[in-house]
Amino acid sequence: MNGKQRRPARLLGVGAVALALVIGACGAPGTEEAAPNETLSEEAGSDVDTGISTETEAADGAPEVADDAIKIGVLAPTTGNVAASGQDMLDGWNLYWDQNDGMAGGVEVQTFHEDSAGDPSTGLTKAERLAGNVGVDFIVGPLLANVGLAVSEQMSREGVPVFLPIATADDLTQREPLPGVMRVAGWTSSQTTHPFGEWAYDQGYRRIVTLCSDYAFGHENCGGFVNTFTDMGGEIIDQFWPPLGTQDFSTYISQVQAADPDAVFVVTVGAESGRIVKAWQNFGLKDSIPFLGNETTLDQSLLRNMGDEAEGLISTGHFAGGRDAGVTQDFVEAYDEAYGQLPSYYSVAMYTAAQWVAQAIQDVDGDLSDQEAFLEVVKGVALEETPMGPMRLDDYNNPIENVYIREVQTRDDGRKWNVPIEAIEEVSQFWHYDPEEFLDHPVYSREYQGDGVWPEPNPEG
Amino acid sequence: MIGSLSLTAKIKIGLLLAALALAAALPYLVSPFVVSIAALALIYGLFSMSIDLLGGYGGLIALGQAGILATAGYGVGYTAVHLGGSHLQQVFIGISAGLVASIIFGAMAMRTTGIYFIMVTLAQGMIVWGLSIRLAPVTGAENGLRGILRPQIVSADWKFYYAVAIIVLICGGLLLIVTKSPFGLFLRGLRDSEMRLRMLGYNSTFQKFYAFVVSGFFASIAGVLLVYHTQFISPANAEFLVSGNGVLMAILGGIGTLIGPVIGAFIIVFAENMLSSYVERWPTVLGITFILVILFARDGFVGTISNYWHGLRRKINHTDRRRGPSRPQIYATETASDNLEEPNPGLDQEGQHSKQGDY
Repeated sequence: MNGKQRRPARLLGVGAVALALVIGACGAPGTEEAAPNETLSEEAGSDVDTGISTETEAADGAPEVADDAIKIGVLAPTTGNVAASGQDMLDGWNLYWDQNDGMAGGVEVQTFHEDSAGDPSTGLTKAERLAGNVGVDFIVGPLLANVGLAVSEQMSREGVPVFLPIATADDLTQREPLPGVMRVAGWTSSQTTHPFGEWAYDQGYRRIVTLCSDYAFGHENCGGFVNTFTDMGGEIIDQFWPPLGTQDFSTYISQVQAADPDAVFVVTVGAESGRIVKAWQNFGLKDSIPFLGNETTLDQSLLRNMGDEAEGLISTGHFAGGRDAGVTQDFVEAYDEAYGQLPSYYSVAMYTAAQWVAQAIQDVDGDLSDQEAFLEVVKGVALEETPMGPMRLDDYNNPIENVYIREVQTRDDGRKWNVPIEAIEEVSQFWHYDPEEFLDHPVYSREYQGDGVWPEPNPEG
Repeated sequence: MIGSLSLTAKIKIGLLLAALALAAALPYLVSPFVVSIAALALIYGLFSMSIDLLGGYGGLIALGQAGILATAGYGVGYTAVHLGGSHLQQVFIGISAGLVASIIFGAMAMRTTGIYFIMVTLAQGMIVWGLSIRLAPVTGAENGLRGILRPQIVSADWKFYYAVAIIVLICGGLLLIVTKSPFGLFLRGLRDSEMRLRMLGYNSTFQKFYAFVVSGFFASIAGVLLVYHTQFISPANAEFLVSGNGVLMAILGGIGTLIGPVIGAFIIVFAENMLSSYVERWPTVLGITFILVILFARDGFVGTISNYWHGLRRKINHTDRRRGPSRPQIYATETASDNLEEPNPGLDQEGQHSKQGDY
């Protein structure tokens, strides 16, 4: 072929690739440099040594680890759509172990991170690797509900415990519990919105429009709000379901405007949150229709990129960075110092999960040989004080925790954060309802938002 | 008989036997996890072969093949989870669902060609993806269908790997027969000049439909295997990314060959699952590899190696009439799918003759 003509092009190509590699290696935006694996880097070091020739190395299984070290698998997406939140998860997790020198109960704890890429199939494969190849004692993570469901089911079958600080799918601790799967420091989708619906009614709102992301989390999250709000006597005049990843909210917002509600309840995730908050201000609705957001709409990870359009907006959540407790402020400061930003709920949940398992490991003196006993201990852990507030698991392996009604305020240094204006303590995933009656009803979905027939609130709850 | 074969054919037989031996010995050499990844790569290899049948041979790039893959997968999942059917029923319903989908899609796409074919198939893939999210009672929406168990006999990873390897080998053989048949020749004709085919009296519309269904059949088998591999299915399996990856695998390995897609699948699947544990920015590495392949090895790994080999042969032996310098140069530069090198060398001579016969 025309080899001579191609030669200059080839040189150019090689040069370009070399340049790309150099740039890639240096300018890692918030990936390698940001991941503070210092105390946990043994596995990273030996992994790198093995290089790409995985076929032979993988046979040896995990890199050398002291025999009595506890191996924890962390599944967090560091590539894909939700990579930024996945990095927050890792940062929060690593911060705890950095502060505690990677030790719990006198035993060394090693973390093995795998990238679940926000995809259930990839998550499953990576979980298999953690369970089979590395031989971890348990898995913490992942982020997305559907990945969590897939991984939990598979690992439960294989006898590897899974702790879910982030993934929220209601039924994992409600109608379809799995042995060995616990929501350590986690929450269910409808847990934070049950009290929010009642709170909204108490504010005098009677007619509300919901605008919730059209997928399982949005349905469940919205269902919690709609259920309690209508039980109190409020009216939902309309429900809009923008698809996940909606770019332009203007058609939805003008429909909300036309309905003239007392307030709007919004569930969005990721980048779309920034879009709707901005659009809400641009439409001039910020001062006329109260904006009630869920946890993920105004999470700290998104506030980082928002300006004054977010100021004063109300949302619900089980974490508020502005909580006035010492333990919360200590955590926020330490996190800010380590990573130069305020922690999101992804960070704090992983940090608290680390605190939780460290407590459990200490309680069993670092001996995880009896898995059943260890799980009982994990289940029995009651943390008096975490950055999120007191936490303990209920009979269905979901935490009973505080829920905060939060307002976006500006800190002295100019950054925005969520400050609690009301704390509702000891909120269970069943709210005031009787658990068994609650579980007789289907899980919240687009078709079933808890309206109509619904159990009477339990007067003792 | 071996003695009568050309050096090229002998090398090919040797490589094929070596690959088979390696495939057979794999579970004894590496950890169960790697075996499981190898099974996944084989499944995607089959999927990519089904795309390659349309794309590499027929010149019809289908960007919605994941729709068929996922339809078959949901067929299996729905039967297993909601109907509680036996594995035989699951496989039957899975492949039937995939076939029905490919018949519908084929009927939609058969009149189009070129960019329009790409757009139609892209839309088809998106339809399945959209349905998988919308039809929550059937598909479980984002949460997917969980608890689809492998048949007991292949429940262990290494057993499942062997089962996959055998099925993929059989399917590869069937595809080889298809590509060597008059229908395969027709496909190549379709790629090179559909108008000429019509002029010669072929019903190219119907034949395209037929090709689509054949391709869909193999994609359905891949879908069934994939569901049993992960024991789970979700809309992520129907995403455009899956179709796109299938095309990339074929291009990376060598489009227009049957072994190429499998090699491409191994590269991409292993990058995704193994490299990602060591390199945070593994998609960058994959992207650079892809750019390099497009720039310097447009025929993919298999095509490039065989190009160099034939170039070498020509230099060594000018008397080799089969691959004489009279071969139109335009082939090598214009179409990425020139080299129809098949894993089975026995039919190679026929292939070459028939190709020259076309022109």
